[in-house]
Amino acid sequence: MSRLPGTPRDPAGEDAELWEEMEAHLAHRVDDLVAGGMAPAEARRTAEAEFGDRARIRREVARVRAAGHRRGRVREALDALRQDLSFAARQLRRAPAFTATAVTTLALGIGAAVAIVSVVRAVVLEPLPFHEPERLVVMEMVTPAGADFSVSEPAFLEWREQLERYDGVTAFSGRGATLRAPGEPASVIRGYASAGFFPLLGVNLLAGRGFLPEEDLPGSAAAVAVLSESLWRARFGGSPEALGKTVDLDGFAFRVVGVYPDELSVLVGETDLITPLGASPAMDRGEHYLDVVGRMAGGVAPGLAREELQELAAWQSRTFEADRGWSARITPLEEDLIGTATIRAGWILLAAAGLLLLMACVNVSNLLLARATTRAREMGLRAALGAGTGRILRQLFTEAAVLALAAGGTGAVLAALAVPAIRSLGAGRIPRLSDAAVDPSALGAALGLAALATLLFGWVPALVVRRTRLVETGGARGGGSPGTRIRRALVMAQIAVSVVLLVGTGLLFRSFLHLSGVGVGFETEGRLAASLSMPDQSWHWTERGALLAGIEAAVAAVPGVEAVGATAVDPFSGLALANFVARNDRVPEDAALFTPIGWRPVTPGFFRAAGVEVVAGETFRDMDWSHDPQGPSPVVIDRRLSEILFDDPAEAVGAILVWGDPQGSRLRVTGVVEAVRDVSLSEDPSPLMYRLHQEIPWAAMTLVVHTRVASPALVQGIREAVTAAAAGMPAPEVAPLDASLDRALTQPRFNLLVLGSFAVLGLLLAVVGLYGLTAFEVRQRFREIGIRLSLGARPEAIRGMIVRERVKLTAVGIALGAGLAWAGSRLLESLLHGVTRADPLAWAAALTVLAVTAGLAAWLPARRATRVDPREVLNAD
Amino acid sequence: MTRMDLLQGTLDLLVLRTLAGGPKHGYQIARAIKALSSEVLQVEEGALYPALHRLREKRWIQGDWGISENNRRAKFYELTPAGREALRSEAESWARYVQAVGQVLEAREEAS
Repeated sequence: MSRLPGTPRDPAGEDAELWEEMEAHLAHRVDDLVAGGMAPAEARRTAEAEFGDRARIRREVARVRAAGHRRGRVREALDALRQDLSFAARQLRRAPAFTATAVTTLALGIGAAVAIVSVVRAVVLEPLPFHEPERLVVMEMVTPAGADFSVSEPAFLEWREQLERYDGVTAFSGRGATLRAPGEPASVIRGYASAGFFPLLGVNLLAGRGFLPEEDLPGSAAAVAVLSESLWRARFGGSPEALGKTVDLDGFAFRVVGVYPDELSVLVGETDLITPLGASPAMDRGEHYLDVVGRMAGGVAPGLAREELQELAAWQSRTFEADRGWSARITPLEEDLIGTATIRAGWILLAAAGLLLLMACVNVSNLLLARATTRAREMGLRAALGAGTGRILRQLFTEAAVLALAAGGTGAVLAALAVPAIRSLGAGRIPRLSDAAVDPSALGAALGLAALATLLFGWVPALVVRRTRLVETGGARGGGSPGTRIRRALVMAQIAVSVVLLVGTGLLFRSFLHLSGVGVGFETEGRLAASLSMPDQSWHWTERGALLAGIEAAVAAVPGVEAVGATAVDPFSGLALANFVARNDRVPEDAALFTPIGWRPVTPGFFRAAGVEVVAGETFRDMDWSHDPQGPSPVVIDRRLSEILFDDPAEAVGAILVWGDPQGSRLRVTGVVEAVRDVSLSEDPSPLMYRLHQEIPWAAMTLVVHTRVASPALVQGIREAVTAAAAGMPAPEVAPLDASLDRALTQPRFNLLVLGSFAVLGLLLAVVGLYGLTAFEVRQRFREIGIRLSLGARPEAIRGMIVRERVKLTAVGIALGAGLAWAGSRLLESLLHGVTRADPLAWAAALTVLAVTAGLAAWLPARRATRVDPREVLNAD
Repeated sequence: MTRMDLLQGTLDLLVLRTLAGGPKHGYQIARAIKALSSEVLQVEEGALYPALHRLREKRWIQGDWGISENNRRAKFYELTPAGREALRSEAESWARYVQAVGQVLEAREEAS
């Protein structure tokens, strides 16, 4: 008989069969040999010799059989797994509500976690695209008032020469320019960098080289340029032939020597090309405009590097009048570029996503627990029918695995949808966010989590089942069993987590409301902004005042334009200009005691065009300084500065101020205006002074245009008016001022929306948890409820009893959560503006929302319970 | 003509090939391989049995006891449908293998 696949093996029988087979073989051979005339005994010997060692062959066959047996066992295991899987799938299909809830819950948790890990990884965790970025620091000067400030050329050169705990120090700056050729003329940002800039950062150029030391000689930078990857592609089609060609910047030819990758934009922003800086020790020490980056020498502690810089800055402060009272500081480059607020927000979001995932896990394990308890009878029955404990456990395990896998897959899809949404939410304002993509390793981690969840979820119910002996299942009814206690504790934990998320969101929401409601002190409605660039190479500084006046006149003549003015600070672009002033009648001897202020050049039309209110006196009149070139320059100050220097705005009008230091020029205050907030929404603005652009003819100005109705035709009219009034100037980009204000709100809105959606998810999960628990317990107690009802208990009393238990549970959860939230809100503090972490409104709103939803989640199943027909319940089992 | 030892793994293929002509018992298979290869291929007859068991584990052949032409009890093997398919694909890849090795050897001869 041939063995059927799957029939039991009988090694001894098979061996005997083999022996018989081999004997038959020999007998046939002997028959042949004897028929050929050989003697039977000799024939036997010959046949055995031809056949070979039968004992060895037996061993070989036994090995073949054993190998086949092993393969058979694997096949059996796979068959069993297939059976388990399809059984699990059938079981899950039979409980669609349970399955859908469990999969959705877990998928939401996994999706949120993967999305956030992907985003935070791109923005915060991904190392900067530099060589050993942790050794790079931003080196700044610090004003006598303690504000960070850019660095002057001489100070930078002294740092570069004298600092020994740094492998190198390099400087960078940028300003607007016009690229005239090749291609259409366009406004570009021209960067300036000292030699060694690229190697110090460790940036790999895409082509060519960086600057040679001889191209960066003091005061005489060579006419060479390194292009950005984008400009290289746009103007040279990304061809290597670009090297050696020239580009025309403001009428001067620059030879292209290299191309840097666009990833450098994390440091140099929108810069289009970089030319040598040519820093000179002869430059004015009062001209601070350089960003300086240093690379700390290997093995040098940041503290020591800082110390050395501070000692050098102290020497500079003692030695040079212009540096009196100044000091210096270093910040890790990463912190400076990505921003402590963003880094912190990243960690908070990670924590929130982790909490959410935890909640989802808790919920699913709760659901599985509940299911395991209701299935205790089924399991008991199966155990009684002879299913091994191992087999039952494995089946529970497989069910959990199927759930986790389905949830992992769905979660991956959710993450793939969420990441682009998050990307567009924070576009343009959060560094590197545009690089965010679903992270394969995060996806891998999610699948790992799903597997982990399997272990967790598979075993918890398994433990319950294990403790359930058949005798108990007949009579086990809810109440104080260990399963119930665990479930209640889990739901309580969920409520607590939910409170943490809701309170966090409440606080961020209040802060956001505060920021978006902050008075900026100028009008944005109906205002357009256009950036103009009037570089030295194209216009001598003495021509700029008249040039800008001409542009303003041309724009004012465009139909629909109400008012035109210009300011050096494009609102919320981050640019801030700083200096110092004092009252002429109270000049301190030490420049360090002057009042630190923000200032900006504006044209006379600015105040009316931007809608800045006049508090006292009057703003600039056209050309009014030129009538008396020897006398003090006219300035306008804001209410804050007036409050610091004078008792009363009226007193300020006509007063004389001193600019910069005791020997500085004299200024006459013509008027006081309302304070404006155009640098940052979240930080209090410095006291501000306005100076006439004609007097300080800044090259990069932003035109502010007040229009009646903004239309594309009007925008086009403005662009044409500008190019008509300034030959050779590229047509500027024109954008509503609202957009700039909106840009300033991007980061807070991003934080709010992401944490807010987490809170909504969290609340949802907590409600699902509480509802599920209540519905389950009510079901378990149908019998008890039925008896009570039939004995005449009033339904309201029973409802009350069930709800009261939930209220206790919820109250403990809320109390726990409130404690956690209070501790956790410390993390949020730096992201809050205008509210404290104790903000009563945020707390009250969060706790109320939670209490009300929790109440509903408990009341609904309780109500259902009391609608039960007692007879039906009592007959149920 | 010199006699050659069998390359490892080719015995299975030869067994399948001899069974393609119809059911045979072990001794018949051994004779058939010798005859078909014009006595060139040397098979230690006993080695046939591990091969038969290997093929049976793969479910390429199945065996059943019967009575031989000599009136002796013997186990007759025949190809299963899976075995027939396996013979086809194994024979194909063997042909490719032989062709490839042949090409390499000829190329070497030309070069030297």
